[in-house]
Amino acid sequence: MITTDMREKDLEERAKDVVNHLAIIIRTTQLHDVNNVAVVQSIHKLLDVINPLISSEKITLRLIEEFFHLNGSRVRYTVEYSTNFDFIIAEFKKLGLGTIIFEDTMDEENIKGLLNAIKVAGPSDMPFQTLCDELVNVPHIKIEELQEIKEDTECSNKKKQIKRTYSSAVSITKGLLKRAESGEMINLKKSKRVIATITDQILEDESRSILVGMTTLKDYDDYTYHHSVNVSILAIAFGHKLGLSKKNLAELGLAALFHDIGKIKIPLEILNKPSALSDIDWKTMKLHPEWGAVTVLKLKGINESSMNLAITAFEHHLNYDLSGYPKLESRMSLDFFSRIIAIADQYDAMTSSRVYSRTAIPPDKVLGLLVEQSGKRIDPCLLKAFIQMIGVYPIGCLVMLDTEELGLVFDNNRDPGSSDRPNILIIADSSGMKTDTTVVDLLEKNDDGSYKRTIQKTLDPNEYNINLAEYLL
Amino acid sequence: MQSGELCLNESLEKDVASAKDIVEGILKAKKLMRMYPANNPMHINASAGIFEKFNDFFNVHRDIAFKVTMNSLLYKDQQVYHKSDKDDNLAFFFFKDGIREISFMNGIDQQELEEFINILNIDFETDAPDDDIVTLLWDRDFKNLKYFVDQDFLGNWEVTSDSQSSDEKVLSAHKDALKKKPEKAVIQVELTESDFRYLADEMQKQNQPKLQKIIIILFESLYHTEETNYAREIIDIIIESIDYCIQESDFGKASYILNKLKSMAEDENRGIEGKRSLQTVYDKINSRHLIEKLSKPLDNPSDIDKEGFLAFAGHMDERSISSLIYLLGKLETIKGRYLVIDVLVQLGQQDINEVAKGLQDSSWHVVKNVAHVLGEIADPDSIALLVKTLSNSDHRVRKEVIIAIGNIRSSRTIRYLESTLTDNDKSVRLTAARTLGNTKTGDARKLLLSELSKKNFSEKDFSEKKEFYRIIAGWQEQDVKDFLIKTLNTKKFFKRAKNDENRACAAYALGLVKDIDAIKSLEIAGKSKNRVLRELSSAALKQLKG
Repeated sequence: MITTDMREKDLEERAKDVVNHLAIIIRTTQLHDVNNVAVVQSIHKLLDVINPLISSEKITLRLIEEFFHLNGSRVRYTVEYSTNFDFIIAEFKKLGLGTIIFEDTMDEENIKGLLNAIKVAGPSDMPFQTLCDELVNVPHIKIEELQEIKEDTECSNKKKQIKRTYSSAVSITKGLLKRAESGEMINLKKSKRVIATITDQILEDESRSILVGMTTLKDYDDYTYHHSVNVSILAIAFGHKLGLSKKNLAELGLAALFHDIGKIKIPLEILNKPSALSDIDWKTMKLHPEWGAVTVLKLKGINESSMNLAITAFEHHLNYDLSGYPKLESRMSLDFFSRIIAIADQYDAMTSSRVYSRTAIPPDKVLGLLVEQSGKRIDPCLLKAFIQMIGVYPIGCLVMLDTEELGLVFDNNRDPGSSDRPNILIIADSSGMKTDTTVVDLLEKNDDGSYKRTIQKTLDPNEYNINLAEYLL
Repeated sequence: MQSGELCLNESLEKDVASAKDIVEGILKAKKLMRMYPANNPMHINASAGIFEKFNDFFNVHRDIAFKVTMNSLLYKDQQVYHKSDKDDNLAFFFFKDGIREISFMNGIDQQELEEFINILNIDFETDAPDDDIVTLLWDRDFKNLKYFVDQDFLGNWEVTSDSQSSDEKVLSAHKDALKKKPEKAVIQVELTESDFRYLADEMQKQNQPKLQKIIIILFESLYHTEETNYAREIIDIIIESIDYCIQESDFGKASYILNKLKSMAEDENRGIEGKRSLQTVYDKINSRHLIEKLSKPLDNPSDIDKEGFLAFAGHMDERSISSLIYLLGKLETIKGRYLVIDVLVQLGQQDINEVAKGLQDSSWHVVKNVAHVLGEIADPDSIALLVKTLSNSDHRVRKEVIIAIGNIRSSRTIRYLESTLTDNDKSVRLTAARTLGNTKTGDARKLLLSELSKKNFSEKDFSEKKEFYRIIAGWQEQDVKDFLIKTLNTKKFFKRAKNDENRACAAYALGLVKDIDAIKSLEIAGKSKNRVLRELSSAALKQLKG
């Protein structure tokens, strides 16, 4: 098993290298002749990575929307290769090129033939046709035309923007918490910018569901950072549902992003302990709200913004009935933002598998558990509003419809009375076969007035490794 | 070139010139609004001027959009601003934070423009370290100002997911689902009217000040910690929160913090850390650094919470005296100075020598206020310190010192004040006389009678003489009455007018002392040819008979 995993990792890396080197040689050929030393050197680097793969089977490199797939597996898009990936995606699109098939072991001449063909086709009026003509005499290389993109460009761009917002938020949060951990002063400029962007996207109906859908992305390794961003997105969406002003939403989002900042002081051996935490570990763990508040005030001084952050960092594990932790000596009422963040925090934590709690609970079951705590640990009124926001079947729920189609809850219907009729992303047809994803609205009715589709059953998406974010990526 | 094309070019040239003019207007307004406070005419005119320029433009166009490059602003692809140097470069100011286009719409009002220019004038390093131009524009949410931002600023990360649902997994999920029994959603939620009211109230509360909560949090954290270094970190933040209270003129809250610390220090169960921390905080609040910060809230034109301030100052000790005196010299409002004086009166009782050092200050009003403080403290030991200040060159100081000495009421008071009756400033002499009058002592009476009896007294102006007589009338003793009747009856051939003034003053004083033995003399004087003597005698008679 380990060997298979390792082999898969290796293949993944090689796939990235293939795309990357292909991008390099196409780019270099735009400046130099194919016989130029730099081009030839690059060609050999490509040959070094592609030929070992071709030795076992032919290689099909296909562009689907914004991603390359090598022999059916998506090639991971990573930061270090982003420039070259963006370039080659643009080149493929410009040429109308969808797929290159390397049928047999390649040599320098094959690749030069491909490069020449691309060079000629580039300025042509019918680039793909020209490319086909030019490749007629190049052995072992076949091409296919780019398939029409199903989604309209605007929607695709929107998705792209949202994904970028999400990943920027994770990355910025990680950087900031790392700096805070090492005691460096932190600047919230970038966090504020990303929160402003998230807020703008939440305020837009179409973007909101995609962004909230992104919160179903649970990263086990970078749990803290993903969790912080997820809580922030959920809190802003929740705040929006409650009718908070744009400015308040941004304040809430920022506070949510840093609600767990106190964890930077918890020793890694406790934070990453794979087994259950001991009483002593828990004692330490329970100090993070206090540490969070003190850390924020120490690093940012006392001002309106830092006070909001400190209060929510301190209170997010205090329950509605003031049980929880830290134990208080003074009587106080919980901040409104803290109560919002506490719900978003618990919801995201329970739907995630964490280091010390490997079991993620399905979203609809989490709501059930939260309802049990309503009025005791959770503000009952806020919980009702949260459920209205996230839906009785929350975003990310895996459901079977009465049509026997399998789907993921994609977006909640705005009408509070229809919270059990969300929009569903269909992922399998009635025979269980994976389908091209389409979104259906469960409020849609037949001519006789009956609903076209109704949720019949829910399943645990974690059990099957199915999550909504995967379909959004 | 066709004539239509020519017209188009002319029109473009005109628009570009107007756009250029607007940019220059923005720069000019930015400069003037930074230099002058909001109520200054230069500031007001600058704001009105740029608004007018935009209005003129919007008479013809619906909006104006500037493309932003690193060093230039472009309008319709024509450069309307360029600066190669990055310092004070408007284009770069937008560009560096990712703004690539900025547009102003018809309908923008003067307030929006002013707020926009205020944002341009912010010193980001000191006033908004966690913001940039984009976050501030976003926060302000301008109605008629739009901007396009290149989000590359945020980085170019891509999110990936490790998990990929395989066809088999989906199929397996489908199979399992088919086997499951249908179920219904268990949770149905509906928000009631009272829920909505509750939420609205809670949202309202969210915008209330947060400092009180922060103080509670800091103390909770302090109570819980057993680590000395961590406790000190918290104490540092508590000190900073006191600073914040001062900055916000919330002295009641500052006093609340100090009271909490004091209770903590007095609580045996809190251990040594409480006492140590209180000491640290007290060192801080008695420091020059903190006391200097009081000037801003104390000079604030809005009403200061006097009770809160005095409660806060109640935590200061004699170490703060010299700093408070220094503060007196910095304060610009009388209201602020009075508050500090009140505090000095309290603290000065612990160390009058420290207070008296303020008498050496180079500023007359500081010396005057310090003299006042010493007078209020009324410690006899301070008389000797005050007397030296009687020779101060400023008459306002001398007056205050006289009052202070008068307040102290030592056996030596009269002796010290004697010389001040001959001060070369009339107001000082009068202050001295009034102060003596206020003592109601026989020595003071004798001293004043002696002054009134001096030959040159009649040379003083009428108002001064009248005041002296008013003061002496404060005594009902026979020697006073005799002196007044004698003066009233005294006629002189030479310097008659001055003598009649004296007589008139005596008549006035007799009316005040209500000496019925003076009626006859007053009736005679009431018939005098001297108008003043006649009038004052008649008035005195009315007082006596009425």
